[in-house]
Amino acid sequence: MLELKHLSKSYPGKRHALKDLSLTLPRGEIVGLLGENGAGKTTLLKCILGLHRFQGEILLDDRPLTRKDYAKLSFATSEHSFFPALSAQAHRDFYAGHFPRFRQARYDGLMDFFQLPRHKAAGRLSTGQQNQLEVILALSQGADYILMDEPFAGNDLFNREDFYKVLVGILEPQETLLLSTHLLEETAPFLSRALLLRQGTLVADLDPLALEETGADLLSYVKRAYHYQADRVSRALTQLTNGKEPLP
Amino acid sequence: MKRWKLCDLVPPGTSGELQGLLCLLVMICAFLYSVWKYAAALTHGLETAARSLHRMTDFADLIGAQSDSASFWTPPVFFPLTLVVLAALLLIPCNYYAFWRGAKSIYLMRRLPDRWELARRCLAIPLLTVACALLLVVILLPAFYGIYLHLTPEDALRPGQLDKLWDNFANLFLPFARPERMYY
Repeated sequence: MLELKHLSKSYPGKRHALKDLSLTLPRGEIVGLLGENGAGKTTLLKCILGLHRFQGEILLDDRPLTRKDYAKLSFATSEHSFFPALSAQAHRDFYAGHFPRFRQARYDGLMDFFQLPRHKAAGRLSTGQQNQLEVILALSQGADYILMDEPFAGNDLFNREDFYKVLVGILEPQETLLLSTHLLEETAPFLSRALLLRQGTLVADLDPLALEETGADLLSYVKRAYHYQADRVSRALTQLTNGKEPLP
Repeated sequence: MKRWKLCDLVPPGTSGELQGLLCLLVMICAFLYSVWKYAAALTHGLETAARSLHRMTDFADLIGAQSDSASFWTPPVFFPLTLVVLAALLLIPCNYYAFWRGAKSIYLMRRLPDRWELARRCLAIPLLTVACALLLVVILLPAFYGIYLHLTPEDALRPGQLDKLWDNFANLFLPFARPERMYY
C-alpha cells in the first residue's frame, strides 16, 4: 500500500502546489487523479516518484519510500521520459537491464497490439506512437504502482478506447494504476476510485460505482466540486458580441 | 565485476565510441604538441648553450613555466592539456543536458534502481579524460626532466632546477603566465 501523509509542496515565489495532502493507494486499484489545470496533479505524481522535494511522508507498505523502492513505481508522462535517439527495441534492452521485473511478454504483446516500429528512433515516431511507447514501457517495467500523467494527450479517440480496454484487461491484482487525466468521461467507466484535486488539496475521494448508485454521475459531481458555471459560455458570448445575436 | 562498455558511459542514444574517440584524438594532439614543443625548446636551448658557451636554459624555462616570451601563440608545453581538461569538464553539462533534450529522460534516469547510473553517464568519460591528462603530465614531466638532465652538459647546468620548477608550477598550465622572478 502506498500511503501519503501530510504532503505539501510549494515552488519558490509561488503559492502552494500541494497542501497537507493525505491519501492511501492500496494495491489493485485503477485510480483517477482529476483536477483542473494547476490543481497539483503532476506535482503530486512527481513527489511520489521522488522527482520533487516535498514536506510530509510517503510510505510504501508501511516503510518510508526509498530509492530502492522506485523500481516498484513506473511513470508514463505526456512530457515523455524515453530517450529520443533510442528505438523501442533499445528501450526494451535498457529497461530489462535496469528493472529486474521487466515484463517481456507484456512488452511484446503491447508492441504488437499497437503495431509500433521496433527499430525506429522514439523521437521520430508520431506523437500518438510516442505516447504509446511511453505507456508500454511504464506497463512493462514490472512496477506495482503505475503512475500516468495525461498519457493519451495526442492520441485519437479509437486508439484511446482500445487502450483503456487493454489496460483493464492486462492489469494484475497487485498492480495499481494512478491515472492523471482530463478525459473524465472516457476514463470514468474504468476507474475504481476518483481523487479530485483543487488548488493543491484533495477535495473528494470517490467511488464512481457508489456514486452511480446514488443516481449521480462523476462528471456532474466534478463540475459541482469545481463550482463549474454552466452559464459562463453564454455570458462570454454575450460579452464578446456586445449583446448581438450570434450568427447562425 | 561488471565490465562497462563505452555505450554504458554516455547518455543513451549518444555514441560512446565517438565521444571516447574524440577525447582520445584531442589527448593525442595535446601529447604530440607537448613533445614537439619541448623537443624544439630543448634543441634550441642546447644549441644556444653550445654556441655561446653560456649556461643551459632552465628546465622551467624550456617547458614555458617561467619564460617571459610566453604568449597565446607560444603557450607552455602543457597548455593544450589544460584545454583538454577544460573541454572535458564542459562535456559534463553537455551530457546532463542530453537527458532534457527531446524528451525528459531525466525522469527515468532519476528513478533507476542504480543510483549511480545518471552520474556515470554524465561524468565517466569527462573524468577519465581529465585523469588521462593528469597522468600524461605525471609521466611527461619526469620524462622531460630526465631527458634535460641527460642531454645537458654538467658544467652548463644551473643549480636549483627543481626549485625553480615548483615555484612556477602553476604556470605550466596557463597561456599568459609571467614569471615573478627570472633565473639567469
